Order: sequence, then structure tokens, then C-alpha cells
Amino acid sequence: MKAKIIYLSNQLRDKGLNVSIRSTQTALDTCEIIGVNDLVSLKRALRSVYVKDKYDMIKFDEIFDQCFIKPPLTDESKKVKKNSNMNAGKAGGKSNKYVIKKKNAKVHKKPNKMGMEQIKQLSGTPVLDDRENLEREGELLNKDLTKLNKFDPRMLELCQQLGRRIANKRSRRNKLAKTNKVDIRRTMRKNIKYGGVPVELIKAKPKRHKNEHLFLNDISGSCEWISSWFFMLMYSCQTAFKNSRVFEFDNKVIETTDALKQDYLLNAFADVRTLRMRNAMVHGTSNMYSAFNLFKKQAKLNNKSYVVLLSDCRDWAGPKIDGIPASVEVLQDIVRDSKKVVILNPEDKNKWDVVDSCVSLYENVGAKVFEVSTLNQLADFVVQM
Amino acid sequence: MVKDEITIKNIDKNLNEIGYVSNKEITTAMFLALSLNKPILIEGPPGVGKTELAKAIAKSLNREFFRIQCYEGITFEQIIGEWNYQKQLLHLESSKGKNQDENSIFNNEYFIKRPLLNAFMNENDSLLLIDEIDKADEEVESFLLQALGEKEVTVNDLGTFQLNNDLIVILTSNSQRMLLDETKDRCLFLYIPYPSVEREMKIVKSKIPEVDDGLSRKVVNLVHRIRDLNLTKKPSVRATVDWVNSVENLNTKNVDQALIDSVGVAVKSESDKKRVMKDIFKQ
Repeated sequence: MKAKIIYLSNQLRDKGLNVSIRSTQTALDTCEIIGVNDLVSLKRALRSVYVKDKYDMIKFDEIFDQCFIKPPLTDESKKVKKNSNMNAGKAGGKSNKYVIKKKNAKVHKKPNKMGMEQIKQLSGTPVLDDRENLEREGELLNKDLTKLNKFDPRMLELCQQLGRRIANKRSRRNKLAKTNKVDIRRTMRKNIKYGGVPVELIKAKPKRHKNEHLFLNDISGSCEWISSWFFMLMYSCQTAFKNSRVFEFDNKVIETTDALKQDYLLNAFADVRTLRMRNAMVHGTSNMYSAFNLFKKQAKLNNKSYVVLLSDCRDWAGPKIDGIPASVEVLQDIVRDSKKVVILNPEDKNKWDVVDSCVSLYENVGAKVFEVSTLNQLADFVVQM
Repeated sequence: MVKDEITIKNIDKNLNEIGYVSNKEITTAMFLALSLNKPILIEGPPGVGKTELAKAIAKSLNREFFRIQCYEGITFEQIIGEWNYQKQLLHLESSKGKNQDENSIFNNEYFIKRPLLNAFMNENDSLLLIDEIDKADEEVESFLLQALGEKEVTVNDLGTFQLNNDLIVILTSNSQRMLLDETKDRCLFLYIPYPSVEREMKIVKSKIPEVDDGLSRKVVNLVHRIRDLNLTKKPSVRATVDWVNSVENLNTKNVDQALIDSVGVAVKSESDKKRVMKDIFKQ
């Protein structure tokens, strides 16, 4: 049994589960308590020892079945099996092709059905067709969004959860900022009657911040995907930003703030898609010169405006003056008129300033540029904002 | 039930007697936690009976129950205890002029114990519930590692306290944040999903024994259909029980109308309510 448990631990590690020596030891103790005759109970018990994340349950069940119900083939048994197959072929009763086909059908069909039922049991998590790709939440949150090539509904759910967490964190931070400051001037005046001993502390009244957050998302071909995720994140944490407006651009600019007011994220997203289609902004090329100019007019910037620009800084179709994109000058105006301009760049840092990327030019006129390619990075930035 | 008699069957029976409807998954995990004397981490959506399970286990094993309710910003002092500064100051004032050792104010007498230390120091067998551990900060979670793994707690200036009883530790989490790998490694894991229709029916029956089977089946089926919708907040098992209770208390002949009137018991936001009215009640 010891060998079997160690083999199981190794198999689980190979499949990406965090199995410590402590877990293996606990598994051995479990085997002693439960016994090895009742495999169903043993499976249930070992699941609670090895699995530390609900998404790993399916992987565990499969590997347990392989180790205990269908034991791994040793070299000797492989030889025996090979010989028997060969003999079966020679006997001419059934063809090898038939046997293999039948076996494969059995192996694939059963676990698939069980897996889907189990995923469904984890209620609250949408069912994925491709269960091989079930990943843990942590992995998904750190996945490069620019490299995602299919829509995973669990990412949507995580995005919403993350948004709600951001809203909680920001509101807690705001509350702390409001309650922890002492107004020294008023405290001293109040405590003169006690001979200067600070018996009564007077808390400072919170300053009213009238900052306005303006989000400008690049939806040209290269950034459309990450812009969509950013929009979803903003939708979920919108309560944390009192005055915020959301815009999208390629060579034009549209305001999508109203879409944030939809009751459901998917409806909000559908609204944005409709707006994009109406303005012929699907897979467009970016002209930052005209887009920034339009944004400047629409946004009416002032010294309380905090501009967050999500873009790869590649001005494909914009005009150039002496080889420098004209958009640089417009961005300089935006930086001058607003409180701060931050650019979130989904591209890898190695690709910055390569070919038509104008990251340095934008930095030179006062914008701050950060690399943001995963949901976690996006969320960290929004929290700090 | 004494420790020698702990079997899966007995745990199941005792939980049932107390009114907690268990399943094999839950019972096996609890059996292991008791037999191996290891902490157990229970995860699952809100309102599926995680906290209730801890209470039921404490009751069925006749153990003293201690609870730490975690929240954002909870500190070590609120979990383990803190020095009673006022008492220490008074002692120092009163002993002025006397030749007394200043270290005398750093002993048990001047320390206010909080749930973790109380549970550790208790002479009788106890159960400690660390509820919603995911809401606490990572620092607090790291601090708990010593208690979870080595069964001892260290307090600055006071020393290390060894566990005085056969303590069972149950942690619950709603997965609001990822817990540390170290915490998970020290615990057994149990995921409680929303129950099946049959189990939820049994739960309703155990909470409201006089309820009509037809009504409870109707409500449970309805709740399961609502959970399949993509809502902001899915109805919990607690909500199912409350909904059945509400419909019973409305005491009208038209059950369908009573269900619509009391839908707010299960669906907690206006947007979700609109969706349920449209998709489920076709209104």
C-alpha cells in the first residue's frame, strides 16, 4: 500500500497538484484507518487529504481510478499483455483494430460523463466543455489575457469576483482614511480646559475628493480583447468610483459610460458591442491623433481628471510630423490639462519602442506607462488608483 | 460519543439526531479530522451549512465550542488576547516605593484571553471554529499556522502555550481570496456544494418537520431552477428554508401567489428579482 500511495502522490504532483510529504504521510495514516477493501470510501477519504481546491477534484478522481481501479502496467505485465494481444491476433477471432477501438471508447466515455456531473455539482461554476483545461483560480488570474484564444466563462465569473473585491478594498481604505486622522489644531483648542493634556481627540473631517476618473480603452485589433476584460472589471467595481466615465477608441471615440449602468454584465457588454458596430468600430486600426483630439473635446479635462488609457501605444494610422506621431503632441495637451495620465500597456516590455510603438515618446510628455497583461495586474492597478 | 466509538456510521447518526443532514462526503471528512486529529478546511458558497456543521459536530461530541469570526482587519489581539494595560498601570502605581519585580505585570493575571487561547487552555475537549478565514488578512492566516500545525501558540512576553485538550479545529471559507498553500497543507479539505434536490428536501424537513412534502418539493425545485440562472447572488439553503417557512406563514390557498409574494426571501437584489420574475414566474 505504501508504494501505491507514493505512486499516487507522484502522479498527482505530475498533474499539477501541490502534494507535500505531509499529505503523503496523512494519506498513509488514512489508509490504515479506512482500510483498502472499500475503494469508494478510500477514494472519498483520500480526496479530502490530497485535494486543496475544488477544481482539482476531477483530476484527483481520474488519477485515483488509474492507480487503484486500473493499476499501472508494470514492465512484466506490459510484456504479457503484448504477447496475449499478439496471440489473439494470430488466433484470428477478433481483429486488433476492433479491440483497441472498443477499449478507447470505454476509457473516454465514462470519465467524461462523471466529470461533467461533478463540475455541475460544484454549483456556481459554469460547465466547461473541455475539462482537461480546468485550471485553478490562481492560475487563471495570472494568465496572460493577450494570449487567451478562447472565451472561458469562469474568467468572467472571476473577473466579477475580483471587481467586487476591489470595491470592498477601496471602500475600506476610504473609511480608514476618513476615521484615523486627528485634527491637531482643533484637538489642542478643545483640550486647553484640561491644561493641555489631550483628553478629547477631535477627528478630522474627511476632505471631499472630487476626482474624476476617465478610462479610455483602445479597441483596435491588437487591444480589443484586453479592453473587454478591463471593461468587465470596471463594471464590477464601478461603485468604488463615484465620478467615472468610460470611452473607447480606434480612430474615433465613443463613450460607453451608460452601458455600465446595466443590471447585468453580459447586457452591458452587449450594449458596448452594439455601440461599436453602430460606429463601425470593429477590428479597426488605431489613429491616436484623431482619437485623442476627439477625447479631449468630449471629456472636458480639468485638474481633477485622472486619465487611464489602456493601449499598446501603437499609432498605426495616425499622421506623423518629422517622423514623430502627431498624437504625442495631443497627449502632451491631455497631460497638461489633467491631473495625471496613466497608460496601461498589455504588451510585453521587450516589445515596447519596437517598430511603431511610441511608449518612450508618450513617457517623455509626462504619461506614466505600466505593463498590465493579467487580471491580477489589472486589479492591483485599479486598487492603487 | 467517546473517541473509541468514532465511526463514519456513528457520526452520520449523531449528526442526523441533532438535525444536520449530512452526506457521505461530509461524514468521511469529519471522521478523518477526528481520527487523525487534523484541522479541516470547509469551503463552499454562502449558506450551505459550513458553520452549522461545526456547531453540530461540537454538539454531537459534547465539546465546548469556541468561535473566531474573521473579518477584514481582524488582529492577533482579537484572536489570541491582549495585555490589560489599565490593570498593569494600576498595579505599577500601587506598587510604587515597594521593592517589586516589574516583570510581575507580565503574567497570566494581566492577560485578557480571547477565543484561540481560551480554546487551547480549556481543560475540557473543545471545538474551535475559525469562521470565514478568507476574510482575514494574510498576516493573521500566517500567525495561525503554528496553532494549526504544531498545536501550540506563542504570545510575546508570556511564552508558548501547549494544547491542553483534544481540540478539533474547523476553518470555513467562501473563497473570497486564495488561502495560503501552507494553511491548506495543514488541513484536510471538504467542499460543500449546493445540495441535491433530495438532500435539500431532507434539510427542509429537518428544520420544519410539520411542512407539507408537496410544498417543500415545489420550493426546492424552484430554488434549483433559480440557481441555474446567472444571478448576482444565488439562493442559499438557508433561503430555501426561510422561503418554505414564509409560504407556510402566509397561509393562503394560492401557493403560487404566495411564492411570488415572498420571492424576496430567496432572491436578494432587485435586478435578480426582475430576472427571476421574468424567467421563472413568466411575469
